Amino acid sequence: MLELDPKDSLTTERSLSTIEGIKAATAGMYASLRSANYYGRSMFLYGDLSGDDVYISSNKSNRYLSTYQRNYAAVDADILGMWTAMYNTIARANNIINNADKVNASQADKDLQKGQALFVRALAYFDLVCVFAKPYNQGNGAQAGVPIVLESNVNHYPARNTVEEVYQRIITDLNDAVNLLAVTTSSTKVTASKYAAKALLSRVYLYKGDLTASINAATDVINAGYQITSAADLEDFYATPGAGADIFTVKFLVTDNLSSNNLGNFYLKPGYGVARISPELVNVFDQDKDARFIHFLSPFNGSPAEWQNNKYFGQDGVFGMTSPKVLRIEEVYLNRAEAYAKDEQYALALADLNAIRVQRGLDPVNVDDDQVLDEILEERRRELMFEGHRFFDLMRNGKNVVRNYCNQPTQVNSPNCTITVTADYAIAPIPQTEIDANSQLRGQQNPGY
Amino acid sequence: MLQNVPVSRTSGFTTIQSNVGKMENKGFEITVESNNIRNENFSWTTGLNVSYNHNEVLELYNNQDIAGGTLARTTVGRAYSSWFLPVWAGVDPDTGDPLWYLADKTTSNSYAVASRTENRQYVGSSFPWYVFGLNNSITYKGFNLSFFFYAQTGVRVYNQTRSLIDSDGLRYGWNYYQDADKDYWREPGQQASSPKPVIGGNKNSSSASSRWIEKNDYIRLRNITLSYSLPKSFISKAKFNNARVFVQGTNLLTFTGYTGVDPEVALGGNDVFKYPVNKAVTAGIDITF
Repeated sequence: MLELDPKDSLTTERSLSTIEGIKAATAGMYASLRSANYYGRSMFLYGDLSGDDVYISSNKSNRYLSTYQRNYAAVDADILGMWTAMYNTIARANNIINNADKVNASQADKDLQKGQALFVRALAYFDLVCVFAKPYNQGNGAQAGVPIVLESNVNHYPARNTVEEVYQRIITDLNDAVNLLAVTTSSTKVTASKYAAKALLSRVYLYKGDLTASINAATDVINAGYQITSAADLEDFYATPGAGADIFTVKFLVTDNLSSNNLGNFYLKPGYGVARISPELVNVFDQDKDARFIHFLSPFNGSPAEWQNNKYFGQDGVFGMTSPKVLRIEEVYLNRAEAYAKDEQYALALADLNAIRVQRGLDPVNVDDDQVLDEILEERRRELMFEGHRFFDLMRNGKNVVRNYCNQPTQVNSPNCTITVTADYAIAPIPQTEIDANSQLRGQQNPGY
Repeated sequence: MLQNVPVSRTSGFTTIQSNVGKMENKGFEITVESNNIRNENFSWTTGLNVSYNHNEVLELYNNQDIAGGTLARTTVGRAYSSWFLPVWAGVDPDTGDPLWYLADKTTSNSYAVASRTENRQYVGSSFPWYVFGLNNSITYKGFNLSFFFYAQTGVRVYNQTRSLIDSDGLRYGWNYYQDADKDYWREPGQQASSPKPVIGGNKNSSSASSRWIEKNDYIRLRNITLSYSLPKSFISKAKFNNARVFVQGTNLLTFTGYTGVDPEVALGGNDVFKYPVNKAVTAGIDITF
């Protein structure tokens, strides 16, 4: 007598019972990456506001203050937003992974959907473990990571896994994705490809300290034929989703516009325009030659003593909107260069570094062996600025964040001008809301919160 | 109780709606009607209504508290969605820093520490205890004066508006609360009610805490009406059935200690830039043919 299926919505079981339903779920999974709490805004800002490249103006809007100041409380709303958005993405990926094989369709069709979901799940777990756990080398993976959830169920209350377990999950998922996405090519850019999985592997292994594996993964991607963006094409690069150098891009259509929450609005007027660029970053450029300085840095509109980021002026006529380039070939070159340098293969490291430099209007460098790694990290700082890397690059390499330009009149005050790599506040608190709802996490809060 | 019960967000969901727990509302209501005076030309009637309610949660799913945002929490033995906040301990006279009490009764100027669950306290709820209504009607010949007072006690309001406009320098580009300049910390040794103002904010002093919990007990003259009904002799000549002229005022007087613009805060008790209820004066002629 009682009708259990709701009339106005579809249950997960029914909606994922056909390949069309699975494909719709895949589109929904990519949509969750676009959330302003994830790649839509927070993820890139987290890596830059936590570092020494970007500060918040004293003429601020109160957004992301705690990330810049590194004085989170466990109830922090930005951190809760990120946690929620990342696990929401994982839940959507889990549904696809666990249901794709059950539907009636060709194996190729199923593999394509499942492979994309495995890539996205790995990406979300990697972002979680970077934000909420100590870097891999602080405890060799034995330290607390994040809960691994492979089947999303509201009756499950998981405890934290170790960092090592999370990395193993990520690596397994990415290797599976490489196999399942065998038919994809380097022209697959706004959905996950096997090269996206390998590019992410090169990053994950680098963070883990597995240099050979990082080099091998990077080499597979570089040999696939992606082109480093030339200096001439650089100016429009961030308004061009799926450009030649892109490996995985979270594509925003005009209809996905986050309006005032667009990433660019946080940097630029007439948006909030409150994230401004530290002179410390400006000073690491050859200001006459470097195409990145010429195109992406200029005196701040309305406050010419400060500097502004011009990467995210807009796309398709929408101010401040951008399609975040989560993985691009320049990063893969620099991943490999860093791995080579740490493996003391300095000539190969310099070759990868110079492959980037010559496309930026700069001369190749040749430095002593003991300076190669620093040179590469400096190049990463220039090349990947405002793309969420800087803070994690320092953490991974055991380097403190040292903001020499700090608590100036143009800046909002920060109690922390130096963020020690081992400090409690170098990682985010597990959100209190999560701990309150999930008794398994009681007593598992990060130290200091 | 149909409740949105928070679930682990690792599931991809934030809450599920469940029929869980038990809640009790206990109280009384008294209504008194009195005809104080009644004769041919003059009458005076009074109506008084008093109600009292006590809300208490008796049982929750797995005995698990339910957080209502970051301000309130539902727990067994207290009113539904009681305020659950870091406890404001005033201003440090030596430094002008904000202070909060910790669970061990010591104080701290670190909001990160004070806002931990173990240091928070229940500081009241937004349910009223007593609600009063008092109505009077006085008639003399064709004149009638009636007025209605409404009063409420026991509500604890979270004055979020004030946390935003009296934020000790955090939102220094905003308009400020009118009394923000009255009693703030200026020099060591001074006992002040507001911390030292600092551009960009003074150690999260305006973040959510019991500092912004206020009583909003109030008495309000909800309605007052003076009317005059024209004499029958006049009406019958003019072929009317009834004719009455009146002037009426609503919400003309309010007595309260509440510092916000309007103590009449909606259910839930969070005052966020509430638009105040209108004061209105209406005059009219009421004619029935």
